[in-house]
Amino acid sequence: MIRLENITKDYRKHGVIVQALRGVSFEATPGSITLVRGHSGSGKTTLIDLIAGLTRPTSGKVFVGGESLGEMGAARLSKLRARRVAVVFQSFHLVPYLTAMENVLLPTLAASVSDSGARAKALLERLGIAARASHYPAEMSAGERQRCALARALLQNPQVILADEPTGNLDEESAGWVLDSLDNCRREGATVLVASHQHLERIHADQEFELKDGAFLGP
Amino acid sequence: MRHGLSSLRLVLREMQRSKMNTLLSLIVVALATGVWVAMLAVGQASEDVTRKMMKDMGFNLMITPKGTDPARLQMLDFSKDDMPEEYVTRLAEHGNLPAEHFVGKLQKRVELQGETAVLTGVMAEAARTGSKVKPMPTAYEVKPGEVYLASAIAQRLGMQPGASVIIEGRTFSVAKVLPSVGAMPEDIRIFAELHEVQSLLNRAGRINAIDALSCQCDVPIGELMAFLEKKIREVLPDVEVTAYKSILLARHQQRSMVHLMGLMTLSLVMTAAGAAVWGLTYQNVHNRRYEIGVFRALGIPGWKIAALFLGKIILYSATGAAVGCFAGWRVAQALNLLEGAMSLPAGTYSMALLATPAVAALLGLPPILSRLMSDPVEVLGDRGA
Repeated sequence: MIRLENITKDYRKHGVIVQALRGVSFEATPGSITLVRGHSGSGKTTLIDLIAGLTRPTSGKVFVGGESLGEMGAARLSKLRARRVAVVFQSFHLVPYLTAMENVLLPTLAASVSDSGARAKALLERLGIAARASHYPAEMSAGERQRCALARALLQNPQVILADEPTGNLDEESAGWVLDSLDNCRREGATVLVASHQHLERIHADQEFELKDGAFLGP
Repeated sequence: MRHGLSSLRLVLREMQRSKMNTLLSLIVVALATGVWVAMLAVGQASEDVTRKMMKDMGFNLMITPKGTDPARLQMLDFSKDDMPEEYVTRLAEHGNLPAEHFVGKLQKRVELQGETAVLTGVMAEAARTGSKVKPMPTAYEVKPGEVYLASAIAQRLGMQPGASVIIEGRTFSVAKVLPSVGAMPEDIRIFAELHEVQSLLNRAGRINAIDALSCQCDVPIGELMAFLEKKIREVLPDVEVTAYKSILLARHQQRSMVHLMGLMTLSLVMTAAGAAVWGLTYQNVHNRRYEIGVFRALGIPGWKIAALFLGKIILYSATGAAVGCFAGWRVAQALNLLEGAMSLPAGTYSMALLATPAVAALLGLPPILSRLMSDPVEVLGDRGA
């Protein structure tokens, strides 16, 4: 479960204070998909960073699984990301010198996963890129790379999945694979949050927010 | 990969990818270690050569009874002052003196066929019990009944080995004529066995000088004499210590120069290598900043990320150190600096193999930590809003 209570986030850019989020509150329950739509610069990525514990709010509280992230130190936040929260990045962020299979297995450096090899293989198969297991990111298409990044996020069977523009760089077929997989995760009980600038018709969002200049316009 | 991705595999994969960075780092470490080993070999070779040279040049210290007037010795007047022969053993057995190769002497000016000579009773070089130090080439062991004639006196007396010579009423056989030293009174000495000379001069158990060779001490040149005197007087308070200064100081100066040059070269090489390791690590960490951001986003703890970078440094620096040790040893061998194949102490190589990765890791740590402390959101900031 995710709960945000009146979140604001300011940061300084080139000496100017920018308000990235202004009084954002919402709750997402397990087994649901939340879609946050907004243009570039609306604060979507900041929202994801806050829920992942990669940054802290200027004010307000973030709860994941009932626990307040504000009370967690860096080590506990790392543990949270290693076991319970996974992030899928728009630009994939695969490690270029590792094969697809090795990239999927990367989270095992943070926390062990039982029978990780078999699970990674199954995920690659589920996402339709099993044949690419021994390929390097540079040898794969954008869609395959995003599916690989999604497989990496799903390896630990996370309770919360945060996808930042997961289909931003993808063709229709690849976007379908990714969105169907996220939908599967919802069905398996995960709390899924998708941030996108597009209307994602293929995804059946349980709730949808429009983010503009750091504030929700309303559900 | 049933149990996931191992840190070692990741480190090796990264090294494989950033070949140039790894290779350059390895070369820098190998060069620094190689120069270090070669410099140690040069230092040791220099010490060995100096030691041999100094031994060939003869004793550089003379210990005489307290109150001995050096001017009188110049005049070959050895009539006054003597000391117990047992002093030689006391010095030799002490074992912690900045001097060694002790030879007791009893000397007296004598006239032979109108020629002035110095009858010198010498004992075998005294060494500490169990010591394996080779005696000085100028420490003569003369058999009773025989004498060794220094070159000038042999020439003046017209004597060759096998001739007989009468000294103080006793007949001796000339066993050897010694090569010229080019110094007085060394070239007019007649060496005989100490106890025989003591009995001849009626001075049983007495000597009037002890020759010695100073060790290579780590003392500033200006303080060397005072240091030697103080140390010897701690064992024998009632003696004078005279140095053949030109020999002693030349040796000390040469050694200091080799040390200084070695230290300067080594400091330069180590500073350059340190800066290079730092720079290459900085470059590697900078190039991999997104990776660090991803690792952190995946929940990999900071210490583990640091370990991945340090693992790389340790791997290449250990390999570089091994290559450097081998190369340095081969260079030293090629230049004939080492007499034996492994004549540098084994500890030198072990230290190089252990210390090099440790120092390289320490140098690489600041750029790693600085990147780890940076905001992951900033690093991953190219993701779009």
